[in-house]
Amino acid sequence: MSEYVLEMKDIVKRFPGVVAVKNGQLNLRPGEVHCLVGENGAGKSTLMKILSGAQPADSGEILLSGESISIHNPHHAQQLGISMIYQEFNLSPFLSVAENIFLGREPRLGKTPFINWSKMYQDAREILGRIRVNLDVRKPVNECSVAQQQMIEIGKALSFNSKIIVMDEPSATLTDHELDALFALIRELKEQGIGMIYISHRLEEIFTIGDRVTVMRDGEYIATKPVAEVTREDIIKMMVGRELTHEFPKELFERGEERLRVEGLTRTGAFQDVSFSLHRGEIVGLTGLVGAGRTEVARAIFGADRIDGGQIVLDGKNICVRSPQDAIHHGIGLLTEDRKNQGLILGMTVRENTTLANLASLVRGLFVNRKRERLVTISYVRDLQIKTPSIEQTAQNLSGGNQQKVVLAKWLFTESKVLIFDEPTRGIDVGAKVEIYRLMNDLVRKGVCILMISSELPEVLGMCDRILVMHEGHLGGELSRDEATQERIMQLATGETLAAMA
Amino acid sequence: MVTATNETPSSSAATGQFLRIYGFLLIALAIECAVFEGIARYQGIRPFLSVDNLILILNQSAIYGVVSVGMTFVILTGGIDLSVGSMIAFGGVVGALVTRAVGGDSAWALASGWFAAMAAGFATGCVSGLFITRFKIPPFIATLAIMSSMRGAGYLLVQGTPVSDLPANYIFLGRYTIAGHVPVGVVVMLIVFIAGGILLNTTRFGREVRAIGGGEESARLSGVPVNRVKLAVYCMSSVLSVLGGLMLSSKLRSGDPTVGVGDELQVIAAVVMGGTSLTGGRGTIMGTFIGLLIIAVLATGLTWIGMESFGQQVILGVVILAAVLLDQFKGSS
Ligand SMILES: Nc1ncnc2c1ncn2[C@@H]1O[C@H](COP(=O)(O)OP(=O)(O)OP(=O)(O)O)[C@@H](O)[C@H]1O
Ligand SMILES: [Mg+2]
Repeated sequence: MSEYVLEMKDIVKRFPGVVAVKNGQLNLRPGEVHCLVGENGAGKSTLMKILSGAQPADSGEILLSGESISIHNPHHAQQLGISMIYQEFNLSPFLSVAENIFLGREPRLGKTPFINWSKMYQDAREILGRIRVNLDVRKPVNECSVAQQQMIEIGKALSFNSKIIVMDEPSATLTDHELDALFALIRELKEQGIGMIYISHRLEEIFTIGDRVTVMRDGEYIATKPVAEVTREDIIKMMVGRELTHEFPKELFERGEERLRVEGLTRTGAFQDVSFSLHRGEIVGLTGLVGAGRTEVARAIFGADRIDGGQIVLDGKNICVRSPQDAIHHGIGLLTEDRKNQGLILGMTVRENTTLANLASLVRGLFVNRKRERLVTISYVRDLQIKTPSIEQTAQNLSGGNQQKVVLAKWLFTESKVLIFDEPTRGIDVGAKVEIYRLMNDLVRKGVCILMISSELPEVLGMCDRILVMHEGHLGGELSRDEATQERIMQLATGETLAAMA
Repeated sequence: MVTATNETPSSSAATGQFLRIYGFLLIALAIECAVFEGIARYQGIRPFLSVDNLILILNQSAIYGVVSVGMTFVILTGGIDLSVGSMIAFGGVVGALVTRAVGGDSAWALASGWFAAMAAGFATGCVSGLFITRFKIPPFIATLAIMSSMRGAGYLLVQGTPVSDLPANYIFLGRYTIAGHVPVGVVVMLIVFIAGGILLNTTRFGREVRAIGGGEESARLSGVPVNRVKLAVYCMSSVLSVLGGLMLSSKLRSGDPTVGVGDELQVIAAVVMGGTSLTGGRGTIMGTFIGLLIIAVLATGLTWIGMESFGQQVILGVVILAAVLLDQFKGSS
């Protein structure tokens, strides 16, 4: 019997124009959390898709408990005890928690075709109990939070008696609190001897939860190290191939005149009486717990949702924003947090996505000027270092982080006066993050003002001039760059007032 | 790795891409023609492949062709237009009625008829479009309702009896030829296809149509005027159906409210056969043209070799399935 439950050797995977994985290597011990890191497009997700049977490898070997196997499809992988938890969950929104867990394997009443509901609910409760999740198993999945859905996915994986669970960027959509719950769950699974592969761009998580870490770069295996023997800097160096001096290259600019002001903005049920202003030369952070109404405020300013009260003033003039189209026309842009459903047209090319929000500027007479369009796209692909074989690649085929960069390119091309970034660096690797921060600096230098929504406090603290904190639909308080600390932000986010703190 | 190519595609690259996209369809078309030619020779009847026959096929597909361009746009947005068959009948009836009412054998009467019919088509398209965009009625339901209403409206307008006694020039669209050979209808169809292709491929509107079908919410949040674009495609489909209706009624020299039943399915078949995805976002006008030809060649060829119409329907169904299967196979590999 081998020491490893899983060994992947010399895996190769090609796509037209790209070698996604050149020599993938990975092994996993029972009860181990093995972190997989690398830049955007390094081939992490592809390697895991091969493991979970979603895509066939071109060559290479997979050993399961020492035995060479081939994995035909995701169903087969599940039967072999390999479960994958994708960032986009594969749950049926209108079915209940229990129905989702046992989809296609519902317990029957004897030999009849009828479902044994009581047994199904009981089994589901039992499985969720094993991971200490307390959830009504009759509730439809679309009424569960993202974190709960993730727990359900993990529960589903357990119901297959999985020995290996792969989590591809599970933390990207979780709040700190939920993340703690996930980590507790992962520790629980370790106890049960389940091996886990954990992909994340938040390196600090590796040190909290990981046992060993494997680094990939450009499809190549770089190294596997015990977490205890490496530092954050070591990992970054292996990932990007050089040292990264400043993680937050913040430049301070003189605060200019006011550009955007919102007064008493209200959307019933989402947020009330939100007022703040943005000035030239500054990046303002908008933070708070998930569900505090940050995204809703951004969507309202952008005209994506109707507002019930309040006004928006841009460059001293009252403006009326009824639709995203109006907002873009006035020079307001919103980079949404959900890139798959709200950011990209997945079936369109990198070029078409990049120019979609500002096609008007490329229209000569009746026609879109293709030549200029290509030049514009190429310049963004270069500036943002988007990894793609060509600008005619469909967005669907890019890695997660590179998709995010395309969305970013789209908004940069609108040349807006005010840009609202909702979780702009989600799923982006450490090196590329720095590039994006630099880009923000450039924008601010040009007079654009930026409102950055982010759950990552280090990023907010590192890049923002002022920080607005929301709590349950209200603006809980404002902190300047100098006053702000993680603790003070958390206090405001959980509802303590500034006065109480003083 | 940042190797975005800068040069404009050379003509050979463009040909390569053309073949990659349409290769399957063109091969299917070629095989079809070859089979009919073979059978025709074997049976000792006149050869199937000839200029006259080509013109005949184009002429017979002209009406569906015009309508299928509008349908392609609708399907590209992720919608569907079931009312086209009824609009073909309704357009013909309105055109005939107004032409006869204005009276005389003048171009003026004919133009009035055309104009009135198109205007009616435009208005109807606006109604479907409004229900779909403002009231969020699914396109399938909205256009199904319009299909029923407009079929009825056609009957009501003429009390069930086809409009006859039309002036001699009424047959211009359906039976005139240019230079003694090329039917006017074929020219109209080709113009509509070329204009549709240009609209889809080179204009902002075309891009927005595909963006909506590819992801409506993303498109909306990128500032695409989703409702306006959708309204426009339903108007376009409706107007083009009326144009098809005018061509048909001109061919028949009568405004008949009973024509065009089931035509929506023929038209959708041509569009889908041409590789346009029913979920929207993916598809081309050129594909629709080839899909149309495949169906037209099939119908003409089967008649040519003497198969009766029920057998033709069976074979049409089989060919549609086969073509869509092939397309999926291509998509997945
Ligand atoms: N279906 C596909 N077709 C073509 N290319 C693909 C496809 N899937 C992935 N690729 C390419 O393979 C490379 C590796 O992608 P992968 O998704 O594995 O990266 P990743 O390491 O998960 O990156 P990220 O951190 O951004 O998620 C990328 O260059 C990507 O463009
Ligand atoms: Mg990935």
